[in-house]
Amino acid sequence: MGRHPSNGTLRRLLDEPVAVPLVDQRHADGCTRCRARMASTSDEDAVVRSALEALGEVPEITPADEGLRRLHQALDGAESRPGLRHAGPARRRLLRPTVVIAGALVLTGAATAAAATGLVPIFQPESVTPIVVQAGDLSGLADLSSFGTFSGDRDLKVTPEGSSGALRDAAGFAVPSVQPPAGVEGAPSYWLISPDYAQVDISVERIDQAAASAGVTPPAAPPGIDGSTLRVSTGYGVLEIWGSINFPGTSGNDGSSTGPVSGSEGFFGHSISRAAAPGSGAPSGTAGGDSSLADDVPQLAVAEVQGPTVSSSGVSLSTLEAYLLSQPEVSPALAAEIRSIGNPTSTLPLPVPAGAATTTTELNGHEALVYNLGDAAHLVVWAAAGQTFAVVGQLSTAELVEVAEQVG
Amino acid sequence: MGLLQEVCDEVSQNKPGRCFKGVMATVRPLASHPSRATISIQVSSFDQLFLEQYSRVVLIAYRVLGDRQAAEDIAQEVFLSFYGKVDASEDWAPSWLWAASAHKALNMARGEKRRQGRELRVLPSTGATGPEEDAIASQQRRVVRAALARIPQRQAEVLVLWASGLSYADIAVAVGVRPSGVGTLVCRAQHALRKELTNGKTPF
Repeated sequence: MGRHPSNGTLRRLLDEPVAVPLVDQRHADGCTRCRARMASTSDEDAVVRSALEALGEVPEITPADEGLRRLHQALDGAESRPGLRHAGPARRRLLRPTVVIAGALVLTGAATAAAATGLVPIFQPESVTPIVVQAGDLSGLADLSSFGTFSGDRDLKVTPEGSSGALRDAAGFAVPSVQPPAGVEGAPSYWLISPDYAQVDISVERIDQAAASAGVTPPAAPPGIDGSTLRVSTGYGVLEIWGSINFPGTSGNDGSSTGPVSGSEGFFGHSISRAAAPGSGAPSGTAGGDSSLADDVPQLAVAEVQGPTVSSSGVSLSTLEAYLLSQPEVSPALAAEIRSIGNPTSTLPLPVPAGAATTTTELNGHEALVYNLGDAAHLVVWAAAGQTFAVVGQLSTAELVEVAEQVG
Repeated sequence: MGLLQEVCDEVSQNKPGRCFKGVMATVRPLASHPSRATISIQVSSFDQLFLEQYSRVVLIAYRVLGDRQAAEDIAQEVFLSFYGKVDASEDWAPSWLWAASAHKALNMARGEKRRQGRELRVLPSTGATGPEEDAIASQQRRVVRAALARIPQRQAEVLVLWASGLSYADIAVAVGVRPSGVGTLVCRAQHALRKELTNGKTPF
């Protein structure tokens, strides 16, 4: 009689009988036990097939050539953006959660630092602190170019790496090792965040011109500030993401929301401000669109970035800080918030819109900020030893904090 | 306007350089009849693959999501991921696309599932039956999609590919197993899905 065929073979007999060896076919025909197994398999097959067939009703889909045209448009758009060369959808889409992660912890910090307490000869983050901002505070903060001649890369460059080892080799340090909570499934993808910087050579003339065009009187410039340089830099960053990154309903405006970032508004307006007040209307400076920020968030992502560091030349910290905080674009309340930071040389200010659902928590001795992004998605940000860390995902605060504690 | 028509129009307007990207059209006057020409159209292997597989990639995602627009977005994402990374002339290129479509769609479905209070999208009425029957059918589809999102991802992928009509050989390439192992995977996946459906007291 021979051996009994495996369940898989019996299964295939139902779908592709001719692909099953003849000896197994004959056995299944003649063996009482195997016929019973076949009947059981067939019963289960009928149930599942019926259930799944109901899902397969063919919709009217866009013709393939139209789809191809859309694809080439996307590819052309990606190629036209320096930071997105060779970009696939994952990378283009990645930018938005990257904005949530790296934006919150890197360039937003850098941007606020330009007008904030980070204006120090050497700044290295050792901790984070929330800066409460009102709607309009951030849009009122002009980008760095209004303080003088801007240079630097306005694109956030993120590139995929094939493995954690490749990412480690590229970044020079390993991605934090974490055990994702139950429910977070699949293998993570690995991404390298390239070093970035923004520099402004301060021009009192330009600051005065901006003030004049706004109809306000600029503060008197202290000696030595004209021509001084302010530079905000970030080093390499590593990013580990579980799950795909989906933005339902936003395919048509990816360009506006993921394109090059200029100054503070791109990051603040699109990520933090919207995150803070879901459903309450976008504050000034917020990009358009009606999708929840949580739509941009993957199952789980862990990021670690070197810096940001801030350096300046030609003028002292206290002079620079006093001058820039006295600019009319900086609201008195925001200036007061920034001045109140205890240790401005190592405390990274993170924007928290007024009324935002944010909390602080302690992570292995470091204070961390927890942003509620809406729809059960959260972001945890903290800094230590010159590095800034973030964990974001569609998880509860407790689950994210548990992951963050593994990061260190 | 169809792709071929568009290409022909552009060629006839002597604007081959503006042809649809990825399409190369060549016009060769006939020596015997100089006023006539042959037009040969070559489509890049990537574009050819897209045109051949786009519908199937969309439908695989649609089976999981039940949302045409979302499924087409997934298909775009799949092909963009594929572009420049995989040689479109490889035999296994279609399998890569099918597997990626199932994988991404299931990821999206799971993301939806994770969001509390948000249900998976419901199919629109087909109009083929009455409203009550439509409502019941929609509810059944929603339950099945939710169950698919709960079983292990690999099993769900296998089931989606199997239900999409792929052969065992194709599924084997897509999920990286031997063809002889696909039957076992389908068995386990069917069992897992039925268990989920039964636990949900689904009347199937």
